Amino acid sequence: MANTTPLRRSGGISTPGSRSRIWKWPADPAEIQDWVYTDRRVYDLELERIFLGPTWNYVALEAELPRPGDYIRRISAASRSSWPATRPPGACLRKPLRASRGRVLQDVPRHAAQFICPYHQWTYDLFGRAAVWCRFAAA
Amino acid sequence: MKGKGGMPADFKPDEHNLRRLNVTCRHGVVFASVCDQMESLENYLGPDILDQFDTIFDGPS
Repeated sequence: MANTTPLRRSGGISTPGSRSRIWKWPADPAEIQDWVYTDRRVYDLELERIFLGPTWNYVALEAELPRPGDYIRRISAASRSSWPATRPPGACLRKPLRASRGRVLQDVPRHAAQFICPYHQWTYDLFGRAAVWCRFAAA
Repeated sequence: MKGKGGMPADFKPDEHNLRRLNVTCRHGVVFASVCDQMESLENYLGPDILDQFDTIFDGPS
């Protein structure tokens, strides 16, 4: 605690006037600054280097998706939306990224024959192929 | 609707499929990556973490 006061005086607080200085980290690396949780630049770097970068991300257990058409919804920071992890017929697990912008996390395995975007009714089969697309599309 | 509107005649549905992520599995655990040129999960985790992973997830591969 002893060294936090001088750091804040020197520009450690996230305000518009001090944005060029708040990248400085305290001498004690364990002293986590509040701005790392809200700074847009940190968020963009997080997307670029972690969620859209060369990382493997846990999705599901195969036991949760035993049948073709089973799926589970996951929230992804990379797509800023949810997408289903599915088991297409006669195939190992694949995962189409859903085009819709669903925000509800339903962390329970479910079963579907197809995926339908709730906004424009675009419909995709279990392999992620566009199956129905004309409805409302010219609006 | 009623025969009007919709996509133009040259619309190619194959160009509008959902994006597939890169997926790998180990012992029934599923991982995904937006990156298509990923190293194997085994290399990614490294020997120490992989050993602990296999201790916890010892199901069928």
